[in-house]
Amino acid sequence: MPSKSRRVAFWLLTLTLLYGCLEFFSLFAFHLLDGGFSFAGLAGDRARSAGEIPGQPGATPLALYALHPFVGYTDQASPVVRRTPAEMAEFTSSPQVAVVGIFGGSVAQELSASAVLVQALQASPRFAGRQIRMLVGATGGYKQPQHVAALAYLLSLGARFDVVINLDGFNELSDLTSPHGMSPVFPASWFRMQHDFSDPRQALALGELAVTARRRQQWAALCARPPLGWSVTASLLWRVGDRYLANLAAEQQLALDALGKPTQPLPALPVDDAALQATLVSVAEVWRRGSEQMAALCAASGAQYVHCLQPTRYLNKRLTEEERRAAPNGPGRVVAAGYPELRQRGLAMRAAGLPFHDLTGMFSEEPRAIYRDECHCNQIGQDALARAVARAVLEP
Amino acid sequence: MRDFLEAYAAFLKARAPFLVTLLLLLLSALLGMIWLARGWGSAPAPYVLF
Repeated sequence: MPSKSRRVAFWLLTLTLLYGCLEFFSLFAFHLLDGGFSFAGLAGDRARSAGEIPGQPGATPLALYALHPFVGYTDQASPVVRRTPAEMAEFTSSPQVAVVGIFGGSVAQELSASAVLVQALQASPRFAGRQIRMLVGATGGYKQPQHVAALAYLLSLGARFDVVINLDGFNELSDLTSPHGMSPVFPASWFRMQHDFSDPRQALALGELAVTARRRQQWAALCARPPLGWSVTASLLWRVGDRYLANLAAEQQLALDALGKPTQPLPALPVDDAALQATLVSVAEVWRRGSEQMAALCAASGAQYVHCLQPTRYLNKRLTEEERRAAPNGPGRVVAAGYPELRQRGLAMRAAGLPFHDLTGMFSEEPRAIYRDECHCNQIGQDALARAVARAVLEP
Repeated sequence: MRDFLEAYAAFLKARAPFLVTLLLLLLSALLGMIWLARGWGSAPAPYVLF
C-alpha cells in the first residue's frame, strides 16, 4: 500500500492525465464542430456573444434595440444615442485632434475600433502628431438613408469632422426579402420593432427573448474568465451552450415574428423575382442619393468624404471550407444580384468627382479564410480592410 | 523513478475499471455535446442582418 502522500500524488497525476485526455478530445471535437481551434478566434467569438462588441448578432437581438427619433434605432452603446451637444466639444477638429467619422453598418462599426486604421492614418504627414478621435455613426444593420440621418444629426449636435468614412453596401441588399411587406429603405427588420406591448403574448415573447440574450451574454462572460478561458474543454462547453442559447433565441425570435403584426401600416413591397430587379434599382438609387447627400454635408462643413463599397463573401472570393461552413447562405442571391447595381452607380459617382472606392475585389486573390459570415471579417480581413480604407482616405 | 512508475502502474491497475468507466463517461458526454451542438447549429433561424 503506497503512503498517503504518494496516493495523493498518484491521484493528482491520474486526474491530470484524464484532464489531458479531455483536452485532447475537446480539440478533436472543435475540429468536428468548427473545422479547427484557436484561442484567439474563440476569444473573439466569446466577446461577440458577451456583447463586448456592440452591434454584433448574439449580443443584442434587433428586437431589443432602442428606437431613435432620427435614425430609426440604435444599440444602447452607440454614440448616436449617447451623445449630447455638450459632449460634442471633444469631437471638434483642431490642430491637435483629428476627428474621423465612421458610418455604415456593423462592419463599419468594427472598423471604428481598428488600431490598424488609426496607425495607418497617423503614419501620413496629414495626421502625424494629431490625436485621432473616432466618432461612430455606424450601428449594426444601418443602411441608407440612416447614414445621412446619422451624419446630419451628429453635425447638428456640433461635431466637426476632418474625415467622414462611409463603408456600406451589404445591408442595402440583405434585408429585401423580409416578411410583412416592409419598405426596403426602412431600417433593417423594422417590423421587429413594432411591438404591441398591450398584447401580453408579444410582451411575454419579447421578455423571453431578452432573458435568453442576457443568459447568452452571461455564459460567454463566465467562460471567458481565467482559468476557464484557458481550457479547451471549458471552451467546448461554452460553444455548446452558446449554440443552444443562440438556437433558443432564434426560436423565440420566430415565435415573436409570428405574433408581431406591425402596429403601424407599412408600405408593401413585392419581392418576387419579377419585381426584384426593379427593387434593386430603386434601393441602389437611394444608396447613391444618400452618398451624394453625405458628400454635400461634408463639403458644407469642410470635411473630407470617402465612400467605400464593402466586400462580401458572395463576390470575388474563393471561399475556404471554414468560410463556407461559417454562415448560412442567407441573402446571397439578392446580394449578388444587387452589388453590380451599387458598383455601377458608385463608379458613376466617382466619374462625377465623388471619392468612391470599390473594395469588393480586395480579397479575390486571398487564399486564407477571411469571412466569419456573409460580410464580417476575421482579424486578417479586418486589418486588410482598415488598410484599404486608410489608403482611400490618404489617396482619394 | 522506476520504483515510482511501478507503484503508479499498480495503483492504476487496481482502479482500472473505475478509471476506464470514468473516461468513457466523460467521452460519451463530449460526444453527446458534439451531437447536440451540431443539431442546434443546423436549426432554422430567422435571418437577422448586420
